[in-house]
Amino acid sequence: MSEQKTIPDNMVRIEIDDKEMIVPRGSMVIEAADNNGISIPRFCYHKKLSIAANCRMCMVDVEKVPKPLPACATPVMPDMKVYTKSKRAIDAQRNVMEFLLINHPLDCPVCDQGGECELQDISMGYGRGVSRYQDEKRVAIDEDIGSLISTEMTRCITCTRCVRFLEEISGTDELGGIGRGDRTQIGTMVGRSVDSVMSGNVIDLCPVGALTNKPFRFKARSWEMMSANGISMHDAIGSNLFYHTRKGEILRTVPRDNESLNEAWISDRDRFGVLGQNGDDRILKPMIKQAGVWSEVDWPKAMDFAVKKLQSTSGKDTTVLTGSQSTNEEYFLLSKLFKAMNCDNLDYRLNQSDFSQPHNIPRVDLDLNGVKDNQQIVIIGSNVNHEQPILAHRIRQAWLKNDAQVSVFNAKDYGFRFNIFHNYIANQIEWVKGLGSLAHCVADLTKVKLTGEVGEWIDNQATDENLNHLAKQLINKDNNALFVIGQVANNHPQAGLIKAIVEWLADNTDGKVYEMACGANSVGAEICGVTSNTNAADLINSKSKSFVIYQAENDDFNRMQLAHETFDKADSVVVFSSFADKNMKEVADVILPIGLASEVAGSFFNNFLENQKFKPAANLPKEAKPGWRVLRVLGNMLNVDGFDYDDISEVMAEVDALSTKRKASFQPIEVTHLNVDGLVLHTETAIYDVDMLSRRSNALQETIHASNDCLSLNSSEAEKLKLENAMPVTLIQGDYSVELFINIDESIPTGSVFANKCVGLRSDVLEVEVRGESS
Amino acid sequence: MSDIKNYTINFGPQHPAAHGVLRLILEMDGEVIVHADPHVGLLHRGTEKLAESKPFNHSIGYMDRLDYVSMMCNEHGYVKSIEKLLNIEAPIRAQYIRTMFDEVTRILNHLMWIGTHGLDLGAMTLFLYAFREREYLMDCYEAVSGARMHAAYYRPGGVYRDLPDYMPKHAESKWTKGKALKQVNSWREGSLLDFLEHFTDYFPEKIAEYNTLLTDNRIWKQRTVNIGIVSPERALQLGFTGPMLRGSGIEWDLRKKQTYAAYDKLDFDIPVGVNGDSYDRYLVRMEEMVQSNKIIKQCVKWLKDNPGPVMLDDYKVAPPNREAMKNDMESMIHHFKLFTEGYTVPKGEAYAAVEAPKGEFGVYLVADDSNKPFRMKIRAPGFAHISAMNEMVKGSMLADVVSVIGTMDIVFGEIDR
Amino acid sequence: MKMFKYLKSLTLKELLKGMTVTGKYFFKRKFTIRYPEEKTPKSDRFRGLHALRRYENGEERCIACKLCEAVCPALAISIDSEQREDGTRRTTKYEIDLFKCIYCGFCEESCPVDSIVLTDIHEFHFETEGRNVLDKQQLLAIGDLREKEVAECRQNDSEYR
Repeated sequence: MSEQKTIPDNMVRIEIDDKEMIVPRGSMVIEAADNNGISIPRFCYHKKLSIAANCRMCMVDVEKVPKPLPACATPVMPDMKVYTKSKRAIDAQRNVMEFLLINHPLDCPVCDQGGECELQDISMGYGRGVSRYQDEKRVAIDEDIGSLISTEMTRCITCTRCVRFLEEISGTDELGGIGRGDRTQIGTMVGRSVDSVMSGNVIDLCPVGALTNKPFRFKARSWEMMSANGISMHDAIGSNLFYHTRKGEILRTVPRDNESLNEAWISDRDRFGVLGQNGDDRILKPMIKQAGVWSEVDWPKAMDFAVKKLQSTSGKDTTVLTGSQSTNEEYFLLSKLFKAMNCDNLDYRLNQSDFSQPHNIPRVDLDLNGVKDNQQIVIIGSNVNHEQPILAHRIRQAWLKNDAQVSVFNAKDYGFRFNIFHNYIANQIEWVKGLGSLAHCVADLTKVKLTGEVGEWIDNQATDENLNHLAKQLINKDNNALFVIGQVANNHPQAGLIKAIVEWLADNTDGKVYEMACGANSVGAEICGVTSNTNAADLINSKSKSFVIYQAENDDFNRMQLAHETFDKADSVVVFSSFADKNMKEVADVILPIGLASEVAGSFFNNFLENQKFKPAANLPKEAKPGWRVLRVLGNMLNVDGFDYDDISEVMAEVDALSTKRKASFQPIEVTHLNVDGLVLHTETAIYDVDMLSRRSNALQETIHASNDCLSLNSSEAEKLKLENAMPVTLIQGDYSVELFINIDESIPTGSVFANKCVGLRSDVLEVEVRGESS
Repeated sequence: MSDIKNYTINFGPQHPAAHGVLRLILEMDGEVIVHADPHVGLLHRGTEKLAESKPFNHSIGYMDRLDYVSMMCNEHGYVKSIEKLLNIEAPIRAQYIRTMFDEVTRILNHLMWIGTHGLDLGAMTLFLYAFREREYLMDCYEAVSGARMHAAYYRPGGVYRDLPDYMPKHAESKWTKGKALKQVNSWREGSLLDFLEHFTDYFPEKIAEYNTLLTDNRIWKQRTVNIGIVSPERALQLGFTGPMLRGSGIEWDLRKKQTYAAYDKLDFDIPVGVNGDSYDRYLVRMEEMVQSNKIIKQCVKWLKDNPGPVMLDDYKVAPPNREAMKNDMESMIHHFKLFTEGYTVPKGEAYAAVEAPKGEFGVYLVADDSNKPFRMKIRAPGFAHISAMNEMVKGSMLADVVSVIGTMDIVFGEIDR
Repeated sequence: MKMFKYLKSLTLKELLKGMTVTGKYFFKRKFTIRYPEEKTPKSDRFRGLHALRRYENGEERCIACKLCEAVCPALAISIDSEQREDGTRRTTKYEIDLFKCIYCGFCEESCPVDSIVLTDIHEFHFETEGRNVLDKQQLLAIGDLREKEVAECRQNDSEYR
């Protein structure tokens, strides 16, 4: 009995199938079995979801209990003896399986789940061979729940995994069970679509073919596809994925478990974004423009042409602008190549407008698992649910499980799926001031003397009773505070000020900062040296003779009209890109088709500075080549030393050796004062407009989150302007005007109008005028 | 005499007497063979390796193509091995069907052998007669499986379909009509079993004819008697099986010694030779055909009297029938899974052998709890036999090589696999 | 004894006996048939050239479940599937490479809708490269051509399937 003494208090000793194990007290039998390699069939149980115990598939036989018990809802007891293969357990499993199949349609041949279906597998493994049921089967009515998930509810076995996911993880409560007994149906009830930005996960969760991947519908069977590891190409969480490819083409994406990043989930953008790979304007062959006419040429000719263009101007007169979706290796070679040519005009921060904070690696003081340890979370200028859905999920879990209090400073009430402790919603100018007020309150409470220009500015902001309450919570020693800086803040004309305030706040509340990186790999671009002493905004405005645009397009720029005009005027524009839209073709001289990150080997730095390497998942289309190879050859052709790589691993080794240390903390800066009379514009990049891939993913563009040509404002503001819903108006921003339609939206604060950036707006000019049709 | 050297010639692989793609390198001292070196591999298709990449059932069709004149026996060895791993047994009727078709196969094989062996040694006519009889048996193959050679008929857990109760009939034509048509269709009025029964009644007299043509024929005897003698001891040491071993006088037959299918319920004898030369092996094979005929006759009788299932009633291994598949959910799922993923075979290894017409055909399978074999090894009787080529022809004349190849009954499908 | 054997040998007895056997067949009705005017009978289970069948209303049976593609040991079948405008699951490509096919019949066994069948056609050849790959249209055409025979054979054999 000496053995028993060694069992800690929080553990118990049990036996499953005569195998002895010591498991945490309070855990369920099914967890103990899973962790010890004993398989118990299940449908409704999922390790990341709450326990429902409604499928009854996991019946096991427990000694001294007169009837079988569901393993997922039976907590372990000391010295419990569980049998998963006794006659009673097997009988129970077989009978449950028979009942589950009674109402299941004979759909296997036309069902997309066929071959990867848990119902099939468990029926094979644990069910009967023949059915005894002769009568009619139940039929359920399908709902159209959007462009991402296809439904076939007759196949549903009401395990409620999808319901629980949307309730617990996504928090959107969009599906539910209606009716009782065998009439139970899972649905939205009101016939709306499922709009969670993580909705795609219900496809993986569904153990049967009731919820399947709509863009993937009927494309391939599970056994035909190869699985390749991938990393998210859309946000800097760096979610781990599996790409499923058939004949070298990515057909779908599923999550790859990584407890420290995406757990078992991925966002819809990661799941369906890659489908943009087949966009109409994909460049399949090198193209050159001579006398205004495009022609497809072979690689040597195109490279010669590009080299000639690059050599015609000096490095100093060349500007290199990159998107944030390429691999570290490409960034590294790009920077190495052009810096060797004395070019100091490189930037990747195309969407940013305020560059008063110098180039730096985004400040992130914690890892994703650390989010839940914060009692106070302040979201500053971020639609976190759209910018990094996984982070939003982690914040929600912190609120749900650890009672974290989340406060928000935003220009729009995004309707986050957690309770908000302090909701500071004001227009783009006011919420920054609110942040200043918060800092002021903290300064008052902590008696810290405010110094410098920023300090002075903070001091000038009025204190506020509510913010004072928040400030008290932030400085409370028992509370860990986390400040999340998002893209709205990052692209704000006062971004530098916001960051300086946050830095001050974090320092004085002993808090942590999470600064979201834009795009998938802007961190990599920073580390690999796509940096210079100038910035993207100045470069666009400069008189550079030659431009190199790497995996970026017009929509990526903050000032897209200006960018277009500048490129148009430039002597030469060399484009490395997977896609080239009409705008790009108008200005470019040569387009070299390069592969997307899913098609090449490489690595991404995520927000937490993890360097995640991957191999090519898909074949490169037609004549497209990996970007690093093109750059390597270009390096040789331009006679730059150190471009004799044979293999990408050599480049990777050099990237590995780069420093990932933040250069300095945020700098105190000169404060720019913004004053706008009238309406203040709030414009941001829509969730599915963040990069060239997601823009081209049809499935995503058909969702309600896709960008639109609406001008949103609240009803009181609309009344003031005598505008009505759906009314066409003209929005004037500086010398740019665009036709939009009015959308009355109460989430917009008074004095503010909201529109998607892709309609041609810029985020740094806040003053706009709205003209109705009549005026 | 230093300028006289042994002469090396290539025998095959294009030689008609080389039975397919045997390449023999013969070192000749005049017309006497000093050394014979058989080269294998020209028909290598990687069957064993292919099987590792496919669910178990997918390889059944490839078994037909090993020894392509004793198709169903190869299948039998393979499915027996799988059944051993799965620990299942086919229903008794399936066992009888397998026994019957194993013997049909044996006759097919021996007819092929006697035809080509005769052809090699100058007895042309017999070839035509042997192929005439083969035609009837091929029709039986076709009637049960739909293919005249590559049947893919045996399945783990039984056989694919039951024996049909009708036979296809000759159609009327300009030349065959009226009485003549009736006569050619006379065997085909009843079921397949009736057809086979007619065959078993007819076949003994044909064997008698072959015997008339060959057994006492002086040319035949000159070409076979005392050619390729293998002593019983050597035959055992060389790993001979089947008629090659029995020709040397050793009474070894898996059907009796390690009985399988329905052989223990049937009455038959094992013929053995005395001298271990080509002629004795000829006599053994001729007698085997008689015995096979006897076995078929007994099987036909049993099968006529005992209807029943021919496939295991376990949908975890055997796919459900089409009607069930279309009407019930469990069957649908099992059909789907069996045809895509196949069944899972528990971890283990098994060797199962059958007495194929050429000797012991065995399949060694290693399963790793997945739906594909981890390793498959085929024990092909012909491979052991051809390995003895040098020993059997050394010191003989060049012409005797043909006789020895013939008596070995070599088929390259199984040797090269 | 040896003398007796020698004399027996001199009479060519065994050779003459053999000649009688062959001579007898000289006068018998020929076993062979006059192909191609006459053909040997073919079983209903015969596994010949492939075909894709249609329903009576002209709708193709195939639902692109890909069981045949999965079960094909020789990987002779390749299928691409898509959703058709009416929402049904259909093939956009259905190809069988007759050079790869081993005519094992597993595809027909696996087909849940009796679409892919092996007909009794066994006399076919190709004259140009690439014709060995039958596409969906060709397979459907073969099915249309032989629907009656195919259905009849399946009907005759239905109790065994």
